[in-house]
This record gives sequence, C-alpha cells and structure tokens, in this order.
Amino acid sequence: MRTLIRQQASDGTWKESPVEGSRLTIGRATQQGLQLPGLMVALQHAELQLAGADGRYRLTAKALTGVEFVGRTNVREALLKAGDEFTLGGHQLRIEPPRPGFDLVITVTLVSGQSLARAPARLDLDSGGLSKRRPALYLVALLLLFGLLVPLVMIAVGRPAPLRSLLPTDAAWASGPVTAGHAHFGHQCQTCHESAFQSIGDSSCTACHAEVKHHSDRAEIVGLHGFKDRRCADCHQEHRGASALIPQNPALCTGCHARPETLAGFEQMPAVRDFKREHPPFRYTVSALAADGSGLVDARIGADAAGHLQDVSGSLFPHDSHLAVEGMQGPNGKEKLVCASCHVPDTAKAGFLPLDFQKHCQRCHELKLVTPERTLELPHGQNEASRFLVEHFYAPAVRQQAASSPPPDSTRRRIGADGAETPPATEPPDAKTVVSEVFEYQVCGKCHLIDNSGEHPRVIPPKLRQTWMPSARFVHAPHTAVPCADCHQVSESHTGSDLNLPNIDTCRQCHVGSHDSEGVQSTCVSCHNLHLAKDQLMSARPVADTTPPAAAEPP
Amino acid sequence: MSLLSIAAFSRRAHSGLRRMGVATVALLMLPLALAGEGIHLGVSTCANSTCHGSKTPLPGALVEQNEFLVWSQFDKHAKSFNALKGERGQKIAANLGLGPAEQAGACLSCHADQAPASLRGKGFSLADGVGCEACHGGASNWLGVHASGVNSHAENVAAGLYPTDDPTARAKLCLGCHLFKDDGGSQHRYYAAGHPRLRFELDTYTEERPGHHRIDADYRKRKPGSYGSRAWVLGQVAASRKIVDRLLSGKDGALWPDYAVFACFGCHRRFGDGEPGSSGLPPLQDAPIRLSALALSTLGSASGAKLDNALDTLNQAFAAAGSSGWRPAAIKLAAQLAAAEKELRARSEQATDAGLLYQAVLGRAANGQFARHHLAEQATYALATLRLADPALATAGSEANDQAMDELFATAGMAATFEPARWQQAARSLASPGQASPPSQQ
Repeated sequence: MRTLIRQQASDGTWKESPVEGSRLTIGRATQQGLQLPGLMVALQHAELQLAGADGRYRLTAKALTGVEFVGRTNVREALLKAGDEFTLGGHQLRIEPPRPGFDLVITVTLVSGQSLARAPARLDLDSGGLSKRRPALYLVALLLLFGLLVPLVMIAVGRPAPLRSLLPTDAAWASGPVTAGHAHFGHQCQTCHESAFQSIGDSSCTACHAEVKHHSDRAEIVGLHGFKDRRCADCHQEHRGASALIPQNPALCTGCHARPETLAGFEQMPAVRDFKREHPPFRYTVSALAADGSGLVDARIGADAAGHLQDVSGSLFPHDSHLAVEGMQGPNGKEKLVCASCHVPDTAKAGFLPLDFQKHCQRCHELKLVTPERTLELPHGQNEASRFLVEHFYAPAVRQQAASSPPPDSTRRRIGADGAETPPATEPPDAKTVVSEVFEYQVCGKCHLIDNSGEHPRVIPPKLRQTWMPSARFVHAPHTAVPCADCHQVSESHTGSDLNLPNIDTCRQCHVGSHDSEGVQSTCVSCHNLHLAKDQLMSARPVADTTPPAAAEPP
Repeated sequence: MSLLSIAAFSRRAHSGLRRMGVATVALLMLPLALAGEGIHLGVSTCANSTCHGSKTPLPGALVEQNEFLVWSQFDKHAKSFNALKGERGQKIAANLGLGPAEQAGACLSCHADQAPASLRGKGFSLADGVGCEACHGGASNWLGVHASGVNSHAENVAAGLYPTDDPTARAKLCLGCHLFKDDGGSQHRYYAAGHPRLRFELDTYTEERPGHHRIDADYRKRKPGSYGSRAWVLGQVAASRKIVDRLLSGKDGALWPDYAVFACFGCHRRFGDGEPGSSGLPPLQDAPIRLSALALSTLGSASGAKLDNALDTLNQAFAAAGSSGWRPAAIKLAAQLAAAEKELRARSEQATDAGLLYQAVLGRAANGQFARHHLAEQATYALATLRLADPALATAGSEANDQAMDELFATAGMAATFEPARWQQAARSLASPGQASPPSQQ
C-alpha cells in the first residue's frame, strides 16, 4: 500500500511525503509510517489498511485511548472512506480522495486548526517582553554618551569644576592597574590575553615563567588539595595594583593548613593558623657527622630541651674568642673583630657573601710549616696536595732533625731497674705519623674535623650553609636596625657546631600574624615561598597522577 | 688524685686565684670556692704550627714553640693512653675486673685527660693521653687571654691556667697520679693487679720527661723558685702530706688504711731478709717526711725536730698492737706538715740552700740512716737533685763523683734485692771521693 502524507510545515507550506508498507502505522515512535509529535500520541497509536476494493479503509486503534471519530471518543475500530476525518492526540487526520499511484492520501493538521509553525508555549525573555536588544541598545547609547561623547566634549571644553567628581574618568574603562612586573607590556594586552573575552590560561603565564617551580616535587601534594584544578590566575590575580600578583591573604594557605588532620596523608603536619597564635616551632636543616665519621650528612632538627641547636658544620670556629671584647691577637698586634669583619652582606642585603678562607682566615691562620730549610704553606681545601707536601717536604725535615738531635737533653734520670721503666721513644717519626700530626694537631685540626676512617687523615669539607630554613626566606635588609646579637647570641658560642639562629619566640617579639595588630603583621608569604619544588616546573603541570609509574610499566 | 680530681682541684685553684688575684698565695686557699672550669679543647687547639706546634721558634718567642712536638715524640704522657691498650694494661684491667683498660674510668683518670663529658670540646680526644689540658687546665676560659700574647703569666693563671710553675701546685698535680689517685680507694689493689709501683720526686720528674720547656736565664727570671732545691723540698712536703692524708682517708677493705701508704718492701720480701730496725710491723712510706724534717732542721727551723717527733709518735702508735691511737698522731702530723709547707713556701730559692741540704742528706746517707729501700730511693733522688741545684757542686763534678752517683742509682734500682750496705758505701764514696774506693760494679 502506497500512502501519501500531507503535512503543513512550520512556514505554512504543505509537504507531501510518500510511505510504503502493507499498512500505514501511526504513532509517536520513529519507526511509525506516520510519526506524530505530542505526549498524547502513543508510540504505536493506530493503523490504517485497505478494506476490500471499494476505496474503504480499516482503522484499528492500537493505543488504549483509541481515536475520536464522528463525535465519539475512544473508537477502537472503524471503516473510513474518502472525506472522513478522525482525531488522534490533538492531530486531525483526513482521508483525501485517492490520487493516481497512491492507495491512500491523508492530510494531517492540528486539531485547533493552528499551524505547526507556532509552539504552544513561549519561555524566552522576548515572550516576557524583556528583549535584550532594547536594553543593549540603551546601554550602548549610554556608554557612547558617557564614555565617548562626554569625554570628547570635555577634551574640547575642559572639565567643569562643579561636575568633576560626578563625571566618569578613564578608570571606568580600565580593568585596573597592571602589576609592576608586567607594566612593561604596556598596551599589548595580547601578551597575556590570548583570545578576547576568555580567561587567561596557564599557558599565558608559563610562556614566560617556564622555569617557575611547582609547589612541590611530590605528586601527591601537587595532585591533591586544591592545586590540581587551579589556574595560575586563580591565586595570582592581575589588574589589582602594583604588587597584588603575590597573594597575601593567609586564608589561601590556612584554608588547608589549619586543618591538616582532614587531609589524607598529611594528618601529622602541625596546624598553622596564624604566625603569632598558632604556628609550630621552627625546624632547621643542619649537618651531622656521619656514623662512620667520614663526612657530613643532612639532618632536620628542632631545638633541644635547652633551646640549643647543633649544626656540625665541620668548622670548629669559636665565635666567643674571635669576638672577645678585649680583642684577639692578630699578625700585627691586637685587633678587635666584629660580625662584619667576616659576614659581608650580599648585594641585595638579604644574606651574606660566602665566607672565604683567603679573605677571612688566612691572615692569621697561615697554614705554615716551618723547617730550617723552607717554609711550607699548605694549600687550603686540598687534602691530597697538602698530604703530598707534608710527606715529601716536611716529614723528611722532621725525621732528619729527630735523627740529628736526640731528644732534648736531660741531666736527670730515674731509678729504674725493676722493669717498670721503658726508655723514651727516640725513633724518628715516620711520614704517616707526621702527616697525622699535621692534619690532626699542628695545622688542619685546629679549625676542622678530621676524618680518620680512611687510609690517610682527611679534612672533612665543612658545610657552611647559606640558609638553614629552606622552606622560609629571611631578608636581613629590613632588620638592620636590630643589632646582630639580638638574634644571634654568639658571644657565648665556643664551637662552630653551635647554630646561632633565633627561634620563633625571637621573631614573635616583633612579628604577629594577621589576627593581631600589636606588632608587625606578617602573613604566610612574608616568610614562605609556595613554589618549593626542586625539579618539577609549573610549565609541566599537571603532575596529578598519583599512581606509581612502575606499576604501569610492562615487565 | 685522678685527673678528674685534678680538674676539680684546678677548678678550685683557679677560682681561688681569681678571688685573691695573687697566684702563689691563693694556692694555699685551694678547696674553697667553686667556679666553672674551662672546657678541654683538645691538644689540636694548642698544637697549631703557629703556636706550640712549630718546628722552630717564631720571632720574638719566649718559649721554644715546639712543645707539642716534644710532647708527642718524646714525652710518655702522650703515649699513656696507648699504654692502656698494651698487653700489660689489658692484663691489669682484666685482673681488676674493669674490662678493656682504654674504656675503664679508673684507668683513664690518669692515663688520659678524663674531663667530664660536659667539658669536652670538639677537638678533645681521650686517645691523646695526658695532653696539654690535663695539666694546664681546660683552656676555654684562659686560651684567649693566653693567646693574646699581651698578658702576664699571672693574668693567665688568674684566667684559669694551672700554675704549674708553683712547686706546691705542681706537686699536687703530679702526685695525684704519680703517688696516689685521689679517689680514696685502694692503690694497693692496682699494684696487686700488676701496675708498676709509683714513686715520685718533683724536681727530677719535672726535668726528666724530657721537659717541653727550656730552663734558661730568662726562664729563671720569670719563674723564680720553681725549680731546684725549693722545688725539691716543697715536693717532699707535698708528698708527705699526700701520704698522711692517704693514711687517714684511704681504705683497703673496711678497716685498714690503703696498704700502699706502707713501704712495699717492708712486707714484700724474702723470709729472713728483715730490714734493719724492722719492728715486724709494716713501715710507713715515710721517706718524704723524714727528708722534710731533715731539710727543715738543716735550714735552722725548729719545725724539723717537731716533725720528726710527730712521725716517731705515729710509728710508735702503730707499734702498739691493737691500738687505734695512730689516728690522732696522724692528724697531728698532718697539721705539722701543713705548717711546715707554709713555712717552706715563704722561703726563697736562695734561702733554701741546696749545698747545705745536700751535705745534710749525704751525711745521713753515709751514716747508714737510709737503710730501708724507700728511704734510700728518695735520698738518691735528693742527692742528685740538690747536687745539680747547687752551682758550686754542679760544676765541681768528678769522675769519682759520677761513678758514686751511678752506684747509688744502680743500688737503689734493685728494689727487691736492696743491699743497704752497698748503697751506704756508695754514699760514703760520694761524701769523700778521695778516701773510699767505690765498690765494684759487679
């Protein structure tokens, strides 16, 4: 059976579409021959088929609701002829006279007689009388007036004083001053704003700041707890003033760090809420002597019960005797040393230039070995070379002198025939003994720890750190009004293993957190950097994968 | 006296000195005040090549500056720690049940600088043996004053340097290890375990080490009365006091004094070898007391006779069987020795005439009055010391004298088989070298 379906489109034109099949199925489902929209139409609502050869059609209702036919509802079955109409789910279907080539011609209209082009309900702003177009036009007009026309007029006539405070300024257009560091971009907005009206992506930042370190090397830190899905600009907000790019708000940090117990894997971290009110005591990265005495290893410590900090730097330098108030004997007489004699501020006055043997020590500590023939000056910092010099030039002189001149003569003797006495050692010392004496006693051991675990004695290279608190940053420059001794009590320190750094209570004498006002208000970033990773770069984000990489690798 | 006690002693001494400001007087005020002793910084602190570890004297130096090298190469103090690790040291410690000797506090107190742990600096090492600070005192308080090179010796001492130039202070320091450790226990136990017998004469032992200092005219000028006859007699008095103090305080078991206060060969001898004058009771090791008394009498002091009497009273009290009367006698003797020390310290070197003392000792020796070994031993040292201390005698030596002196030393050295007659003969030939022929050297 060939069927021609006539339907009126939304633009009012009539569309005719042929359908093949043994019968015409009518319903909402997509496989129906005549598909009708509307929730009142069942998926398979009714069927039409030829009933004999006299041009009649048999209508069979498939849905429980049936169809409406000749004023009756819920008709289950009917015989139709050309000119008959029935209604189904709000659609009126009319049997048309047959046309050549078609067994059935059927016209579908809406029951109300309305065109299908109009939806039954309107939910947009327009239909509520709130068209965007009109306000937009008003706004454009307003902006043009106050943003362009008024300024143009004012350029021409000047800004009348009475209105000055009422009239808009350029600030109305600008989104805020750029950070000092970015000011040199000038008006090249596209340096950061890659496409108009879109938020800045991290790629804009890392294009220049490619070497900025990540917040941690540990994937489980970077991958969790608010780092993972943030953009740089979420914390570092531009157009907020000259130095606004570094977020000062402690809540950014304490949001998590005040409640470490809620963060999986970080339950043991001390809670931090405020520098004055809740902040753990300082901890320090120091050196300790390795168990076998062969060198120095890193250690992380807090102060001991007595408040003392030990950093086995490898240098034995005693501050107390060098800073003695009565002075110290120098090569040209007595001299009075002060802190700055050795600790010279670096250019930024943040810290100090590294200590230098030649500059700071050698004037007094000459490393000289004097023999009748020559004066040897051992090369500082060179274990092997020093040993070579001692073995080949000093030890022979010692041996020769010992051999040629017996022990200092004594006119005395002991009564000693009962076997208790042994004659004093007169054998000249061998080179190994001389080397050992020079390293341990005569020269090196004066200032250095000596490693005797190997074949030859060796000076353990000292580790004079630039900082002992790598997670914090201290700048000396703003503190120059405070005498050194207020924070570094070195006058009682008689070994280089004393770490004369202040504790948190010293800092708290001046510094308070953001909750107090009776002191220098200090936020987290006053001391702490957040980009702490050593290897991981921000440009390599994200390092969110916390699964161990080894597990994923094939065997 | 252990080195620990030396430390304690010197601590007291130092603070006393600070209070008094005058080193030599203050030394008598020892046991009173307490103050912090300096930290022992270790030998390396002193042995720097620009300080006391130089091969040659530095310009303008008053001292040799090779003191460390002399100490480390020739001085047995430097080897005292290693001695503990030797066969004999290990055996003694094992006999005493102390475990390894080099870890035993009882051994380390004399064989090393056993400063308390809190007073050990970074460069400190027990293995350095009896190092600089064992005798000169923990240096942290006085090193700066000393190294500044502008302060006098008295100022160094006031800052904590131990006054080794003072014979009495030096004697107390040395005797603490070289006669009795100051722990009040039994020294006799150490001997029984195999430790060599300790004997001491201040001036001989000061000079014999070999010394890491040179006594020249300049030195004598700076340190008057430190050496020679004055050192000898003050050393004898200090040893006497040490012995009597030990008698009163030392313990060998619950009842007895430390046996080591008695002369060893009073008991340890072959049967039938009774020493002349032996009462059958162990004789007190009283040689220094007798010699002190002799010195005082010779120098015209009445204290000498008093000292002799007090010693006789003590010996008689010992002889009275079952008597505990020796204790008051010993206390009285101790008081007299203290007075004698004060009297002798007031004398200058010139007023302690070495020649006079020499002749007095020699007279008694030739007279056979030092017939016990411990007396002969101290008399031998006395003769050698005083002979050198007297300018006339020191330069008037002859081959016969030297031979006689050799014989005295050789005879005194045969402790276990001491022959009093032979020693007396040698003394006689020293007294009149022309008349008595020296006995054969066998």
